Amino acid sequence: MGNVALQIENLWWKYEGVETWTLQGIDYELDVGKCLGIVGATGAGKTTLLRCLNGLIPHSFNGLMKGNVRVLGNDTGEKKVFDIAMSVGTVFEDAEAQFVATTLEEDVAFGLENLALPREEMRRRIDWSLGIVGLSGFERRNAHELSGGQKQRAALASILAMRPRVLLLDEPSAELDPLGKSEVFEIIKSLKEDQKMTIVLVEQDTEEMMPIVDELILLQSGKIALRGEATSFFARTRELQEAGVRPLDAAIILSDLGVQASEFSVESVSANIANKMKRDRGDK
Amino acid sequence: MTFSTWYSIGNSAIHRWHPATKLLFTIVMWLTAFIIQQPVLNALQFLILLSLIILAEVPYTKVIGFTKVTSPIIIAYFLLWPFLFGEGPVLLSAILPGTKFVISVYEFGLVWGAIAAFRLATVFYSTFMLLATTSDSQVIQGLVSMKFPYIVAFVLMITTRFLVTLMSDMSSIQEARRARGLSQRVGLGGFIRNLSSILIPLVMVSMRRVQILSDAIEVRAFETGRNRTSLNYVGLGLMQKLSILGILLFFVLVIYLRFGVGVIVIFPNRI
Repeated sequence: MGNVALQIENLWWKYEGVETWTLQGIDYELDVGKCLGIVGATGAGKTTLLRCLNGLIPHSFNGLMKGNVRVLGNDTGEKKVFDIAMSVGTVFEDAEAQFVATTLEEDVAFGLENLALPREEMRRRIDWSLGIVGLSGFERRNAHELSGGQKQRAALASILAMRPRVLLLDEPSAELDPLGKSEVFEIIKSLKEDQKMTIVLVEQDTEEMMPIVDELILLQSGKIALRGEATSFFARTRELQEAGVRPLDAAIILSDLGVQASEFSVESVSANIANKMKRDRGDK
Repeated sequence: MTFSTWYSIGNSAIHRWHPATKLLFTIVMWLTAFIIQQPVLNALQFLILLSLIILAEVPYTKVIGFTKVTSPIIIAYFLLWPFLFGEGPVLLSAILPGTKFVISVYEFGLVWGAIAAFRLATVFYSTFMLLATTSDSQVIQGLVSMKFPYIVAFVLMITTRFLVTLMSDMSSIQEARRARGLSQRVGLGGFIRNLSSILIPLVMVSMRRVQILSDAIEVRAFETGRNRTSLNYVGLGLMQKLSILGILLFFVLVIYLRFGVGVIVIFPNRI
């Protein structure tokens, strides 16, 4: 158990008033310090799965739950959201909708005030978290006057200040321009590498998530349709396309050229291209 | 979506007022605006308020932005009364072209229009001064200082902010409607249909927004009834207590002058 961050056992969830199960028998384990990427079409159950990890399900949503979810050994069905929030942080897609205060400093302080931390500790954590996301000096800035990327970084800082060991990110780049996206993904990468955080990243942009994630799952109608390490996962171009997920551009190009790679590593792809060229020459 | 907020960060004397003092000042401004019933004094109260906004160094762009939103309402309010308030000498009278209706403008209506417009302007601009110089957290702090439970103050503030967001969403929906070439229908039926075509997407958008905000608050360890600390909470100092006393004395004086002496009223039968 000591090295396992997330443990999901045969998880089923159905929202009240809805006939179908949104999650259907999810089983998964993620080790501490790893980054899990979750992809899937809209309505596949990605956000619902995150809600199960931060305890909002079953505590704040009505419905029927079966199975177990343990985060850092804590059963999210038994622990309160308040207790889970001390070790699990969640950043949502719409950064602006998450702001509860006017200035950046006040917004970051909100979670810390809820934890009843002393003022000096709050100041330390605000400085630290804003520093991590590259927003030092923005303490007194109006949160609503920041750029899209800065807003999402600010939302991240508000969560990081609470020093979570597990970070859940629900499409953090969905509403960002390319520059904002790369800013946010740079920070996520540094959180994984420097802070050794366990990260669960729900994302549509497969290109940006490729260098960060260790493992991936494809959710389809509430079930895990595909799982694997990033290199082999992204090689399954056809399955991803059928599930409504955009594969890597390179994978599409290779697929169009008729090169089938079983793994998305430089060695594997090079070998497959070489084989393809040999075959083409042989055909002629 | 742009979330507009009137707050401008600053360090003026008014910014440094305790939030409780500012809240009380705003409430007293609202009440006294309706107690004072003398156009010159109503205008004076409004001018004092404008001077305070200038002293607070609120950026002109924000003042102009606010004026653009509120001035049509204030002007319309002023223009309405000379026709509705049928007392005093008639200044102007005319028959509506093509009808037998006679429209008259009364002198007292004009005076009452001025009073009503300055009252409304005082209410708008005192609220603007509060919002422009006080952050959301400070407003909550002020309400808590006035012995409001934290949860009530927090919900009140979040709701106020949410209304601003809804207004912004509404204008986005209207723009989208216009961009798709949907014309505004006329008449009562058209008005209802126009409204329903905006309200349905607005309700959907706001439900999604409420869900995200509620989730975001909860995952940041917000729980009612728990002890919490505050980053910027400051108790009421001597100067602040004296300011509050001064504001209350002003309030009592205005009540006395209106209802005791009767010197700041020109239409005693009206509020």
